[in-house]
Amino acid sequence: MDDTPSRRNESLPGDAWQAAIDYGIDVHQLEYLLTLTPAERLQRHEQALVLVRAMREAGIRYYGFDPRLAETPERPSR
Amino acid sequence: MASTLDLLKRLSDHRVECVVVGGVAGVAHGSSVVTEDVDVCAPLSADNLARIWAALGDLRPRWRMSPGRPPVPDDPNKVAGFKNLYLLTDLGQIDILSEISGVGAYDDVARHSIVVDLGGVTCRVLDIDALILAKRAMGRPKDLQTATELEAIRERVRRERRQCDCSQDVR
Repeated sequence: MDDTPSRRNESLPGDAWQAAIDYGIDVHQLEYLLTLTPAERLQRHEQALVLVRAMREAGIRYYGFDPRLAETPERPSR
Repeated sequence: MASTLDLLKRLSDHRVECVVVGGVAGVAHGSSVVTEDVDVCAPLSADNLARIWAALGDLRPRWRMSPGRPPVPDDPNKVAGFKNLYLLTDLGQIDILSEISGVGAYDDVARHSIVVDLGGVTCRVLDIDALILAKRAMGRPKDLQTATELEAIRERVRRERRQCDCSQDVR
């Protein structure tokens, strides 16, 4: 077993990786994304964007207005 | 369906001089943040504006930030001198920026770009170091989140490259 100090350090999360964990970032998702090619990442992004837009449209249908727009004049009471 | 890839393909097909920056560049590097607009840095010279207009002209480009979202003029010379173009097209939003905070004008941005195959479209993308600088310079919470992700990714990639180099040394 290689137990030299440099090898031990490589097995620990680095400072930036730990900072991402502390920030609340899902680093498991990052690990998955790093297994993909840039083209595959973009393709996955497109799929996520389709879902985001579909959910947004669903939200607008539910509320009757776009809740992101601050200037929406009348908001139905629920 | 709005498509980031289709927008980038059009720019590439029309030989628009540009570098993909912003959230889509982050996605190429491995960021998990979903972004709705395509940001590119491009020189807003007469030649390049003509190519941009040719690439986007049939997508009904409109001024996204103007009330009523009026169409852009047919003649690209009429936007000469603009610093940024914030457009809405039938394929989605695209922001065309002449400079990037934390990095500089187009020449600086191009110097810090890499060529990436995005699945049938080869384009220049801001490299991860410059993208982190740009995100830190923007400073909004969503930019800082992306910068934190990218710093972690950069560290992981460098570490894996080091380990790869070490294993090659052993062989």
